[in-house]
Amino acid sequence: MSSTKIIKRRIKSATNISQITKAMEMVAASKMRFAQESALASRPYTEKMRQILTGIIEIVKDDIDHFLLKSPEIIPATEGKTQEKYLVIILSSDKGLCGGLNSNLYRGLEMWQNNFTEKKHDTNNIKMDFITVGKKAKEHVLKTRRFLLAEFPNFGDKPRYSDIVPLYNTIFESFKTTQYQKILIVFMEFISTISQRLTVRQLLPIQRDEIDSAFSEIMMEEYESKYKPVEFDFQKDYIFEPSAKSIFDKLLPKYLGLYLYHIILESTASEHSARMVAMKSAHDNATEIVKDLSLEYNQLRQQKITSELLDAASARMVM
Amino acid sequence: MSNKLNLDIISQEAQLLSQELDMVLAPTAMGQIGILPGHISLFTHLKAGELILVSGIKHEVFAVTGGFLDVNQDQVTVLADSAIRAEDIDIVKVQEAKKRAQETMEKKLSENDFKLAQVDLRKAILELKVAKRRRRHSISL
Repeated sequence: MSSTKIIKRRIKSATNISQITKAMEMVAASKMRFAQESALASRPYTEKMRQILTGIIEIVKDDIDHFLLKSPEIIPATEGKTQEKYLVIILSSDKGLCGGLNSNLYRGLEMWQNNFTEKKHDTNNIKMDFITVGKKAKEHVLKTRRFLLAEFPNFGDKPRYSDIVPLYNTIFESFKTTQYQKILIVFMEFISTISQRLTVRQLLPIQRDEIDSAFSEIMMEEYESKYKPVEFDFQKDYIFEPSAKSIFDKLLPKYLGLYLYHIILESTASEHSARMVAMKSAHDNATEIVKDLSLEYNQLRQQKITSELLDAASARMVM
Repeated sequence: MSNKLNLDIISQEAQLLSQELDMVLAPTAMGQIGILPGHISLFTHLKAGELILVSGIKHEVFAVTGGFLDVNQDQVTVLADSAIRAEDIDIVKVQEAKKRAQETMEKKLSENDFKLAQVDLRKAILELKVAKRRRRHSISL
């Protein structure tokens, strides 16, 4: 008797779980679509800016000295190893229930940092400070006792450019005051709905190779379809109005902001796709459990009926 | 050398226009400039104003709110913060936006909100100006 009741209760809770996960899957799917679309929409602009930027940096690289293009000089230590300071920005989600996304991020971060510090250990001491976006990364950074410079809440499902301005200002200021040699960003790159990859990119100083490789990755799919890159060869005599310096003063920060925004869109897309996949498998599991439990329940019920029938039949025979 | 210019207008949201034409008049930081085919390579900063595209006897006007302009071998690229064709400006909507922005500014909110409202207001005023001038122009023609 009681065992059928227990099974019935378990079926009910498994059904509830499957319904909830189904709903969450659908919500994540629609958010994911939006995130992917907004990442795609800003591509023509970003791509064009990259083309022009790489072109003109090449032309003026000998004459122009801009602080965003160069690492600040390291003051060599008088004794022992020289200290290099890096600022690392980590993008994560605010909420859990997105499969292995955040734990992959932590694991990748540890591995990358160990590798990185080991490689450079002979020459310089490396100190890394962190800025986190999202609750999960903050928790991790605090748990592992790293230095947390600043933390921002996640930018939500539909980040707007104005949302990232505080983060941008923090990054910009900390580089401007020459506290850091390099500013890096760590995030889960969106590859496809079912796969995300940990990626580390250099935000500052802006360097040509970095611009090229970073964008060719972002633009990879687009290359074949809509926005065929037009490779113009840039001529040597270029006029900058009002002056190259004032153009760079405006263009470089803008590029940086745009790039940052793009990365944030991408990590939002990753979060939602990871959550969608996680919820889908949870839903599938729950449905499977409901199926198994129903079978068990029916078997038990059948058994009960059979034994009751047997009881009735034997009682009649006695009479 | 061809005697046409290729113009691309790209805003942060989308690619707005890509076409061949004869001359571009652009509001740069140094004043309005005209670009004809064969122009030397140029990179400049745009301020808010009218971007006029001339092709034959027709001309089209866009309201742009700042951005960058690149000229390279008869390829003109406008990277606009925002851009809209003068004919597409909805005066009623823009007036509403202007009013909203003014109200927000009067409320004396945080500096950030104030700045955003200011940008909106500037954009609205510019669009109105461009739209009104276009109206008058088309009537007089």
